[in-house]
Amino acid sequence: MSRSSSRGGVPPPFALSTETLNGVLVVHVSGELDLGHADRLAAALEAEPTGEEGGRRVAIDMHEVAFIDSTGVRALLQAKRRTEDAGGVLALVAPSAAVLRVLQLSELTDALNVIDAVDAEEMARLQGP
Amino acid sequence: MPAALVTLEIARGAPVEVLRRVIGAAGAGADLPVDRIEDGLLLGELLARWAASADHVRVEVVGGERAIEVVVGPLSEEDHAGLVTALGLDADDSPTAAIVDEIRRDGTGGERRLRLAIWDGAVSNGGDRAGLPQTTDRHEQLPDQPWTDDRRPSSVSIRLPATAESLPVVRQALTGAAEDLGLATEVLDDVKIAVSEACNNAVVHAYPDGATGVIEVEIWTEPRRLLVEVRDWGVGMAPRSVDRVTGLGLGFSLMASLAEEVTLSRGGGEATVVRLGFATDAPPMTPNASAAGGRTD
Repeated sequence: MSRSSSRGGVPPPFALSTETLNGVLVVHVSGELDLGHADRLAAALEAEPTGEEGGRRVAIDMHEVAFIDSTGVRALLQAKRRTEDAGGVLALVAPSAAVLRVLQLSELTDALNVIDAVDAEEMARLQGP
Repeated sequence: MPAALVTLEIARGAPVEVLRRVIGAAGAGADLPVDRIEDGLLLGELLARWAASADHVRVEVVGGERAIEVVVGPLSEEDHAGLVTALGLDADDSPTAAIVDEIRRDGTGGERRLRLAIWDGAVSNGGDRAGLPQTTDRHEQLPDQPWTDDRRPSSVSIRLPATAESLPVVRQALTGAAEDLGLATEVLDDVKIAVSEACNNAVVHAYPDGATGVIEVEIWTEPRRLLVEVRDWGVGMAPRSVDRVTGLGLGFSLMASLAEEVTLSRGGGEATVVRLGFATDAPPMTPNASAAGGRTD
């Protein structure tokens, strides 16, 4: 056969999981954060304890997000606003090229705190005094 | 509603890799095991190779809970015979028989159809077949919009339910087209974003609550350009674009910044048409040029 069946051929599967690292709630997202999956982010954040006094620190690990659209971006903005309204802080960790592209086009790279790695100290700095 | 329900119209010279990708996406949507999805991709590959030399091909792909079904046709007697030969169905060591669980031939004369089903392992081994999705049910599931007469030569059109589950299928179709056309990854990534936004808009806003709607995506090329049209038959664009509550603005601004052309119009059959044009350094659509017999239209 001229074409190999081992080439890609299916959409990257969506997965979302959470863990707590040094007091930071880390949300790992992979696959396509699109219209069909964007509401999973809010649901995951709601399912976790809201944190201690002063609000929780949330890091969304975006390095395995293969695709994001405006509904995914809107879900991120909404999650950030809700976290901040409760006195917390939310950052995006290591967004993939696909995510960075959309954030840059939407001029939201600064609005959504982008950091390189889950770093409790940096998140505390973002949260302010 | 099955996880995937896609109708493809493939004109001669259109990028046939779309077919393989759509079948793969349907298999993934049907939660088939990896080896059965691989079989689906192989079937897509065999069909795509045949489609590249056929004049005009219609294929329906249905993905359900535990199975996918692929229906090719209606076919003329001659095309049907060509497909049977291409799939080796009359041969003792048919490559198709090794990957497909069921093959049915329907119809007579110029209305022949070939139905090919791939099931998950439990069904293949004699498990319960009740409730397996069948494309014969599709007319009960989706309104059958007439195909427009003004589709472009050498284009591929896919028609899907206006649901969120259709969006990964659309992106796979675009990826397949990009593979055939030799598009750069960066171009494909931008096309996927912009077309997704156009489809999102149709899925979320075109059809009133509860109505089952259809979206259609047509893909073709012009010199140094890739064109994609997204059509729906729901509420027109004007009332949608003023809907501030759901924040359509971000999706529109992404389309505008990624495509060199964004046009909204009213098409045949009262369709709302979003046309997106992308600059590309790929040559005009000449995939499988040798198979297409050197036609130059």
